[in-house]
Amino acid sequence: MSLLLFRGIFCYGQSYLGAEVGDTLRAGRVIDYSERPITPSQKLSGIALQQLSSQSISDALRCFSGVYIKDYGGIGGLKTVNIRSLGSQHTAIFYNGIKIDNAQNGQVDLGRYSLDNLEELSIFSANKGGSLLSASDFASASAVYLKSKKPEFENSDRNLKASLGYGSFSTVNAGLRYERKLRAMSISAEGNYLRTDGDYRFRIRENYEDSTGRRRNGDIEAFRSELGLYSKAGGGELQVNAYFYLSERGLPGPVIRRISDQYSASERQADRNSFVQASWKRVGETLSLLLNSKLSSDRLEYESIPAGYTTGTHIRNEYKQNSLFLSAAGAWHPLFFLSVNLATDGTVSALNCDVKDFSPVLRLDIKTAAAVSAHCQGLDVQASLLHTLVKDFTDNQAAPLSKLSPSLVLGWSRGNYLLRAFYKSTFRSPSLNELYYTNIGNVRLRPESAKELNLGATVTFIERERFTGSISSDFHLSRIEDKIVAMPVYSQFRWSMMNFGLVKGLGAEIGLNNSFRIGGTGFNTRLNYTFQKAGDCSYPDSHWYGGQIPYTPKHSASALLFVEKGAWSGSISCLYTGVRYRASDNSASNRMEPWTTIDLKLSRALELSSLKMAINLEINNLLNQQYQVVNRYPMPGRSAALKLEFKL
Amino acid sequence: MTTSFQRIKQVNIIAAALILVCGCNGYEKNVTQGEEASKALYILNEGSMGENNASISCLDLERGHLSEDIYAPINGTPLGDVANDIIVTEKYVIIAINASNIIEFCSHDGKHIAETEAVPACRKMTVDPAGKYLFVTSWANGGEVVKLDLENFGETARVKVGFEPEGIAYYNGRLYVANSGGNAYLGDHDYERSISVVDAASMRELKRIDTGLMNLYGAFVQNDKYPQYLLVNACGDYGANPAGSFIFDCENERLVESFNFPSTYADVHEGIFYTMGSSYDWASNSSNWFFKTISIKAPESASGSASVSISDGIISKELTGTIESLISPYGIHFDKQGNVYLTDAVDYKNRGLLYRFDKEGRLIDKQIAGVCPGHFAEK
Repeated sequence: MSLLLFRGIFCYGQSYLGAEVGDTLRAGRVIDYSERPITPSQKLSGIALQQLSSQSISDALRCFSGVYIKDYGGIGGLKTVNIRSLGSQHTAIFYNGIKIDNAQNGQVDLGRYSLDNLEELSIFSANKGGSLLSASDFASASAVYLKSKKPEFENSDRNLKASLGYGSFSTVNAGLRYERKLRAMSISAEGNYLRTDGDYRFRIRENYEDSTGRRRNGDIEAFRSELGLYSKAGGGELQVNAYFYLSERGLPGPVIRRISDQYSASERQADRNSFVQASWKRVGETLSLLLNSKLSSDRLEYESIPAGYTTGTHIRNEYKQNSLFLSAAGAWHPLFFLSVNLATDGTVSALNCDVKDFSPVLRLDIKTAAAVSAHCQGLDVQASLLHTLVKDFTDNQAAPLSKLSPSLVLGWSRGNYLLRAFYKSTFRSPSLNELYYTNIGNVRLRPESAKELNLGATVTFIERERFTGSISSDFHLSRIEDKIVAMPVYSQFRWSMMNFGLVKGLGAEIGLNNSFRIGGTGFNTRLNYTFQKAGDCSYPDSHWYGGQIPYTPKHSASALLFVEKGAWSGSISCLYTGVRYRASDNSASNRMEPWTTIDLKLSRALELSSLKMAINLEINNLLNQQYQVVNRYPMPGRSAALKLEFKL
Repeated sequence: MTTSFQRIKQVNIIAAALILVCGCNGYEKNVTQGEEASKALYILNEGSMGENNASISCLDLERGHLSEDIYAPINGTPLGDVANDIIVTEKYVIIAINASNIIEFCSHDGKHIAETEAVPACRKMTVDPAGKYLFVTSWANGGEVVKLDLENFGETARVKVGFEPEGIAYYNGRLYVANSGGNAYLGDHDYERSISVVDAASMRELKRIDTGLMNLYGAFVQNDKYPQYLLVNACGDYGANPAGSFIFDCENERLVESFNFPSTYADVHEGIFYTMGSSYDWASNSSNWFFKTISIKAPESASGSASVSISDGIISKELTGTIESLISPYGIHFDKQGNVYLTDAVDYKNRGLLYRFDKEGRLIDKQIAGVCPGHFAEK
């Protein structure tokens, strides 16, 4: 157990070349060239991921540099990821290699993806590298990859794992996972239940304010179930995943001046998300093939129930989205140093909702990518071109969108040194809500474009098993044009979506990771610092021209420490986010105070005959820091949780 | 252009002559003759919904200095979430804070005196000439008007009117209320076309007058010289029914004339309405702006029909040109001297601007106000 833990820590957190370091140490095998990223990347994997004190993947992502999580607070609050201040809709989220799509609003709530049973969490800028990518892998400025845990069998052909946790704000978490090996196939099935009252206390202390209160209507009840099937088929590897998520939650809304809550409407949201996806991959000497498919169905029900005294209209709306995704990618390696990657994706999404005057929309999204990669004498070059075609079918539909997005990735490595550079031009297409939502949608919207230029380097240190480490840094320039924003049009009183705005960004990231062992104790540390300047250049004559865009800290940093000794293991994570502003007008009245949080986790492994047990104690926000990520949405203060795990 | 400005001047002379004939119709508050000059101009910044950043800027009219927010520093708390209307009485500055469901009463320095949540979803306000009662429109309960006693800030009566009532004016013992039906997009009712007439003493709705124009949202300005006339904006349904505006005669309770241009933001000075209207044009994907001067020639007898003349532009080429150059014009105000104030909400998220012009329409300066500066009141 303890050896396993330490391995996990070792392969954790080695960004850039780090993955190889871990692999080399663990298995002593030759580095797989096709998996080597020459684009900026960061990774958390193995038991280290489990060792982090966090409730959802958003908490883990916060530890990466260049990442900003927009968090509305509490377990049920919306959490979206924004990488390098390009905007959350320029970041794609992939679950076991297939993109999680939300054609309706282009937003993926990270709060719904648990860290339990996640094998690996990684982020990439440009693309994830390698010669066998699907077209979607090329389509966004940055991407987050979630890889769920494959069953592993030690002595028996079946595993059973159960967990039970209880924490602050009446949070209950219970999970059950079963794994079975059947000849060349392995399957896993799990169910997870989560509930919380989410009624945490908060304090907002700002310029001219010092108010305290308790969050109301922040409860959530959620059930998640996943099935996995892993097998060899047709000379390749087959992976099938099914996902089902059911939740009902309150939307606590912003904290605003009120005398009482007697008029506060109760806003509720119920979600049902399900999908089945299959992925088949065959890697050969000269030809490799990757086939992906996914069928998904999402339903969201929103309800606003006026308080006892009728202050508003009872609103109840249902949104449904069904989609089918098919993808094929091939790689041809005609010469030892050259590979050609061709890929195409097709998605059909149907959206319907019962909002007045809304017409159902069918969206067809076809992406085709071609890439050439060459590797010679430590030099890597990858040039790619992606074509995107988006066509909608509805009343008063938007004109079809057809766009080319090029990218060029360069890498040069020698020994323990790696230099990298990339240029990528990409865009996001307007979401269906932005185009067609009753009264707000605007069918004339153009896509929002993002261009990014990056330069970086990594130096790796390896000294047997005693010490490994890497230091890595990247500098980037970015430009977002035709930003899609809401503005009042139609006689000034009705807000609608418009293309407006220009953001010029400049950033630097530096990461230092290392693993070492002193006596019988293993340590892994990870330090990250991010500098980010993103100027709002939308209004050349405005008094805030060039001001830092909202919710973008100029300075942020994280420090993580993992310690493992015998049956004990623990982690400390410390996050710092500097001053941010609510608006591009960086005035004192828009200033949001910096914050620092410290999270702790301590685990003890026990063995009682054939039963393996682990006791985990988590303390989040140890200093009880009162802070807001999103203006008027206070985050929880100190909280604690105790979790028991049983393995058979 | 020149001819229209000449016409304005002529109308001014006629109007000045007429005031002596017409008197004041029992509406003392807005009669400017003989009153002292104002000392301060309050600019209410609506703020952005959910950001709790409404604020009150105060312009010292003698020194020209603008205080960005007089409320939060003195009270240690921001004004609230989305403020819609401001009135200044002899004793109070009164603010309707919509999303906070609060009517706030503070001193002329911005010091908090009282607050009430008797009027949830409060929108627009007016006071009776004696300054005893405050009347507030509210979107709650399917649309109502609430009467508050300014002695004790308590509710005295409430009356149901049309859906989502907006502008409100007091004339001769009666309240005139613009019904918008602004929540029609939610599907349980249609846009409104009516003005509700309410007896201010008994708080009974006497009648609803169909104006023929849809969604009475936006400017609702009572004439300072002839308080019987209201300028009312109609937003339309953002579809087949276009935006427009009209002059309403409270004395005879009928429309005087309707216009095919919107008067989204408007103010009045010495009997003349000045309007800035915007409508969205799908074909060009842009907002069309209309800047108009609307003069009313009152009839000989109270029951006769007024005649209306309209000209393009406001005051001067410089002033009209400045409005055209604003990114998001958000309010216009004339002080008692005839100096003009314009606000620009720019992107509606960052702090907006206040432009100051003299009465000839020459730009004096521009200063930074709060987020969405849109409403004015003078002390």
